[in-house]
Amino acid sequence: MNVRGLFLSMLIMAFFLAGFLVGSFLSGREHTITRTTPTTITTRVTETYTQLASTQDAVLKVAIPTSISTIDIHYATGVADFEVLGNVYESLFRITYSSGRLDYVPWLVKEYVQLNETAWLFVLRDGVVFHNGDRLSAYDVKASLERSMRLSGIGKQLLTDARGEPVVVDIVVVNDTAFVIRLREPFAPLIEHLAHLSTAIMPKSIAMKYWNGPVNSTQDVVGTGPFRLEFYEKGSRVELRRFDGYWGKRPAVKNLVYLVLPDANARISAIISGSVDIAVGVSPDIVETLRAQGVEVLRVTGVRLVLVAVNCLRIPDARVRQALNYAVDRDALVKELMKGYAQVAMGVASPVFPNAATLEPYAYNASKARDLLEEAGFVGKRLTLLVSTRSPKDVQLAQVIQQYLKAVGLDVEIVQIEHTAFLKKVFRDHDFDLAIYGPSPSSLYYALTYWRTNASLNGPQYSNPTVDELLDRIASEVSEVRRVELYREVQGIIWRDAPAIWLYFEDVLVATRPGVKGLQVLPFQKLVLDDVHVV
Amino acid sequence: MWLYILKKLFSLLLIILASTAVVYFTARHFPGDSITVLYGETEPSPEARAALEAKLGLDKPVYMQLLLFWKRLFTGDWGTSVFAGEPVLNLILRRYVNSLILALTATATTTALCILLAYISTMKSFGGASSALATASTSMPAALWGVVLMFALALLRVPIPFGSLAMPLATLTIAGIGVFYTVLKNLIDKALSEPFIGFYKAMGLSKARLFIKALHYITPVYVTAVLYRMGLIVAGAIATETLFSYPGMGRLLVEAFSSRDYSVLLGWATVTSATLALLNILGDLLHAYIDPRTREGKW
Repeated sequence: MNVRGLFLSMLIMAFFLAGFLVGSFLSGREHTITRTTPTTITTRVTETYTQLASTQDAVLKVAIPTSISTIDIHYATGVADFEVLGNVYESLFRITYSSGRLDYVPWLVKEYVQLNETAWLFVLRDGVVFHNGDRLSAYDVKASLERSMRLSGIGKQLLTDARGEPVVVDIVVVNDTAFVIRLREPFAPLIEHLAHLSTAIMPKSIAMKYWNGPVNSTQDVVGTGPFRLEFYEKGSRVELRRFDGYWGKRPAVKNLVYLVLPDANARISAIISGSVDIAVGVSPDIVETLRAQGVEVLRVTGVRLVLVAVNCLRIPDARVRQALNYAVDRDALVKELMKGYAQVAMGVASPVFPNAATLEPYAYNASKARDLLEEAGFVGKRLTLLVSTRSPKDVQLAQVIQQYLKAVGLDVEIVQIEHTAFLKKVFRDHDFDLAIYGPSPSSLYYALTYWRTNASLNGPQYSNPTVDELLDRIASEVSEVRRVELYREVQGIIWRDAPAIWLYFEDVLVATRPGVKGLQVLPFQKLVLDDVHVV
Repeated sequence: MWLYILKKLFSLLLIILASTAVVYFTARHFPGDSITVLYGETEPSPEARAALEAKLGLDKPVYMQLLLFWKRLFTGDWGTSVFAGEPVLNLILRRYVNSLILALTATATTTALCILLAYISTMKSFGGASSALATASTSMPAALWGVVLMFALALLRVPIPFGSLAMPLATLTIAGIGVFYTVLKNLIDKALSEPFIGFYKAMGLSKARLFIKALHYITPVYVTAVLYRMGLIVAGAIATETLFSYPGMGRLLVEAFSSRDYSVLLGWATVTSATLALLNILGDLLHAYIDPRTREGKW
């Protein structure tokens, strides 16, 4: 062996490496240079100029905590899926949020009219083009909605009734731009549910190509949205590029990069150092630190209701379930665990939904809880509390709940479990006593269908025939006034039956660099990037 | 020699079969499957589930699924991931190359720095500074070093190049120096007290040349140690990759497992076990090449 040769090769390697390092650093710099446009704006003229400049080639980087689990919008289930794919796909209607309330506005639809109790006529907006160049037609809508009802778990849940039958009988294409949705019976929340991204529209050819399973080629991720998918590295990053044929307002951002940073420290460092412009999934614990570092934190009341599901088959006595509710001090939880960035649950659906009822809270009362438990003969029982390891906050919460329940004489064992196994155990096998999770519904009606007998999202297997019947009546009730009353009634029943320990609605917290303007945040942890520009 | 290589390659095949079997049965043993992940909290309709099961081959008994995978493994068709949107083979190759680059560069920098430190401490006889550095390096695991580096950059307001090689490389280098410096230094000190070095000394060789002679003498042992760590990095530096969002084999494993992406998981097991076994063979060959004594009897 030639020693000199060994050294020489090592030297060459070191040089190569140094070059590589410098290169990668320089390319990293380049990005920041193109992004940083002058911040000293004195007159309106320069302001428009900077906006124009940023319109041309702005890159927006967003840090998200979990990877998208699919590139098929009809299979989207997680927050990240809707966040990323929501830029690519659009639905017939869109959910907007202003002054504390949600609204459902026509989006791909220009106008619509209810023909009779079970038929709705829709007319599509003109000039909508898919990323592949095809014009949006009523045939695409028909194929997409049928695929959504067939394949999408959420789509199915949105458009089926209590007996699991589809509410849509038929979609009749009238001509290229008009179609009629025929219902089996009146269905009041139709418009709200057509606003969900799980019913998003894709070209008919692609819907047909993937009739039996998820889209498995990024080439076939084709929607009508303002961005198109350009690059996807699972678990690492997703890159989107502005779609120049978009029918609506042209976004100021040209390239949109989602960076998957599962580590909370990495997300903080990323936003503080300016490596990303926006970070979602900000823990309440670090809001103050971020603000002190000059990072802006947006806060919106969320729809995610954090709860401890109580298995109703194992704990059929409603008194016990109510006792569990009285045993927990929500105010303290919100103040201590969530640092105030949550709203104590005063109902089974977030106050941002129209018609969400504010109900009489379960005030913290340990002695009442003990009395109820004694009455039901449930004192000293041993329970398991299932928690997914995906969210560190949930694990902390489990420990606090354990202490509260111990104080009223219940012995709780915490079982931490990996997320996919958690989903199977809670929603398929129903093999748990207590389980922590948080549903994020898109409409009040959808939020309430979680509690329907045998609904797939009904983890605790709660069943109350009155609730089922009321939900049916709400769907078919024509009178708005009467419907509001029914909504209130059903929310009260579920609240008192307590298939869960109702805890709080988490605030949605989003951190942004000071230069990011025009960002809007929906209560579903979804960013609205329409007006975002980087100055 | 060729017989030796042939034998090793045969054992490589067995290793691949065994490791894919272990990984597959373990993964299938965990509750939930790809369809659970696809549907999350919701439930597919029976026909949608049946269609998917047929598509993913989950409708057959587990051992049949494994046999089918083995068949596909050797025909080069590794299937398409239902999550990733591209053929599994492409996906794994790309990640593998990323991990390989990381492993090679990290090994090179670590080794170069270790030799430099060992040289300085031998020549200038102020080993204190070097061993202090080494102790600092071993005081924290790689993942923690990563966090420290990241916070340092954040406080300096330097944009962190997430997704690029620089950060994982720096982290693994810093974390690696400690152990490998200690190994190298001990080996060299021991070598320097060998009789042959004394002979060279008597011949009037300079201190620097003695160092090089010693380095040559210990290379086989050092290479074996370095190759082992390189193999581990190729298999996946999970914590470091996750921290800096580096698309390597570690991220691939975590993502494939959490989404029950069986075809990707099996691909990972194949490539990883093959790499580890090949590095083992390479280590043996290198060892034999550098140190003729080990050749005898073996070939």
